Amino acid sequence: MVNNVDATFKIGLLGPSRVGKTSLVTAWLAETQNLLAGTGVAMHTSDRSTEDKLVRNRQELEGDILAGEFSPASLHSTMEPFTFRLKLDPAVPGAEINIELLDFPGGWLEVSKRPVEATVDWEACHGFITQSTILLIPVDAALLMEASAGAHRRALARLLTIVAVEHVARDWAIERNRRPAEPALLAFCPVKCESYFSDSGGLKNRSAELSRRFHEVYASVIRAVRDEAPTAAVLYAPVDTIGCVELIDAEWPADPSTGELGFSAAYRIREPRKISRTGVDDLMRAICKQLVQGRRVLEAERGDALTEQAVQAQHYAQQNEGFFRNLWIMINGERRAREHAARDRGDEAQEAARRVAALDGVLKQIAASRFGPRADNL
Amino acid sequence: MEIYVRTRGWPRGNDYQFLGEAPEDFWWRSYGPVTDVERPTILLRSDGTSWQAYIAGIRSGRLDSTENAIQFNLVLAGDCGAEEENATALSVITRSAAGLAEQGAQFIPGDPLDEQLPADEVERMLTSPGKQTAAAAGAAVRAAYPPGGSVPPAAPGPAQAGPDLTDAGPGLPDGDWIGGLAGPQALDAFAALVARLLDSGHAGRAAVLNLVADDGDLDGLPAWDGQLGALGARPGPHLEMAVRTLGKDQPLPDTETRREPPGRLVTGRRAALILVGVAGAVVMAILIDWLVRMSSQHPHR
Repeated sequence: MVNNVDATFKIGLLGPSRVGKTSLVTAWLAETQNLLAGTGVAMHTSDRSTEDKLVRNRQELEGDILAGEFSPASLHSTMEPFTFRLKLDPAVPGAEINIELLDFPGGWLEVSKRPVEATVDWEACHGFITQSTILLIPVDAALLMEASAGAHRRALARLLTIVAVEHVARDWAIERNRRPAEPALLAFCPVKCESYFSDSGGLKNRSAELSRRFHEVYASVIRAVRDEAPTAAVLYAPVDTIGCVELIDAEWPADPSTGELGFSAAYRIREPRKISRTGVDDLMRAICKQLVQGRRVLEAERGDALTEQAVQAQHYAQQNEGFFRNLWIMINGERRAREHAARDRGDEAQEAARRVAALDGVLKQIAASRFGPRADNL
Repeated sequence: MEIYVRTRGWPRGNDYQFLGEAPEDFWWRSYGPVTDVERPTILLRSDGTSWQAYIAGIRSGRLDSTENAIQFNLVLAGDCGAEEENATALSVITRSAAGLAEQGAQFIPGDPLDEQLPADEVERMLTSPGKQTAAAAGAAVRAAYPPGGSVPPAAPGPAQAGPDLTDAGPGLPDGDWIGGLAGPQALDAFAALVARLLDSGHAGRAAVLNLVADDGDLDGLPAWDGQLGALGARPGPHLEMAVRTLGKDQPLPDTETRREPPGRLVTGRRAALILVGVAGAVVMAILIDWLVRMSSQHPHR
């Protein structure tokens, strides 16, 4: 759960190349301030690289939307592992939560596609993922929904790297199960859902079909996590990563050398040209809940330890050591020092208890706002 | 000279990887605090005997399956002073910098590489690891950037004619310096420093950094011996910043923090004097008390 005394939580990201991992992360992080408004909770970037990545992605996207078309000039790509560093402030003094979210090239997921030079990097990424409190799995909604022919459906498992995703998700679940006191969340996030929901300007509501297809294709992943970590929370949270786009064309071209089908989708920008990331709020709420819950567990553990130390310090301060020894430690000031130390421990224990109570309040506030109609606890 | 090329293919499965072989050390990652190594950036470092370079953001005309532009990354390494070999490196680095400046720091034009590495060839190379593929990729880079080849027109101003690739002396400021990628004389100074670093006996770095707009942004730069020449490539008005020597136009941040204000020193000295005075008074009081006790215990002495 907590990776060091500074309460740093890890969030893992799991999906193949070009599925939309970075888009999901930037959509989520770009909206944090809007989504957290009114909760008293705030999120900030912790370093310049993270801030810059988010700002540039947003600027490029807004530029495309204003231009009315997606520009292939933008060099969107993940070639190197990148750690987004953030800080969640639950408005409880001393209870800030550091977040690290690892994005990595999706091609590393499959051993057959992984470059030799990435072996060590992948091991580090795998270690990060299994240590993560939260695991996000982006799902390409267009890929699921546009698979109309049998050949398309046969290609789904390969294109979505289901076997590799299941394997890593199982490793994550095993590690979570070893730490039952810690919160654990697995969130499946179908992305690019704009054309399949009618709640944000889409023409048709095909959400039930999307859910059905997701369950069909990802059944083995859900089962693996359920088997290994029965208490982990599993969430289905479809997301519009942009909002004002519409799928206009989907192609399944065959690779001339292998004959394997690929997938390509084209989108147009629809009116009004305004970014509207429906569904991200559900994901945000679930993540915040897990993180605050994790911080609460940590504070409670610290509080228990401090209370025990305070009791021991109090006992030590009042300890009877015989007439002459008592007289001596009174004269040389040791008794006063012991009493002072006991008071300090007591104050720290009370402070920890206050933080736990305050975090409970934040959790209640987050829990009070329910999931929207898109999200589903699995 | 070693040359490594990284790119990706059209299918989802053909993700970014080095063609044939990869370099042993991904040293450019340590520059993450000052430049996004997945966006247009140029890094060259030399210890005086050998040098390494990393160039990212060379935009190919190829698109991937999600209609995103594909890029090339180049990793070069060689021995300082190897003139013929290093002429290619000089050409790659200076033409990339000039191309990036021309494109407003958005991307480095990759047409010369596309000509040498067409889509079919790249797809084949991505699935054919080994020395042969790596050598073919290296040969393509050499062909794309012939030494002394034409330099694309750069930013307006003195650099418009392109950097002087043969003369490492004039136009190169002494000491560490920074300028905007499109600033006056920036590319000339950059090219001069690159030429010097590729030559023997000159340790240092020449870099185009996309998270840097001014001096303050250089804080996260990893340590390295020798001269630093940095071109800020963070999009915005700072791109036009003129070349200036670091540490001369304004005091370095450390200088200010280390210097204590005079008032504080006076206050500290006064506090010490007061402390000595109080201690003396206490000693005197104890001495008087001891003398009084002694005289009361021995009244007849």
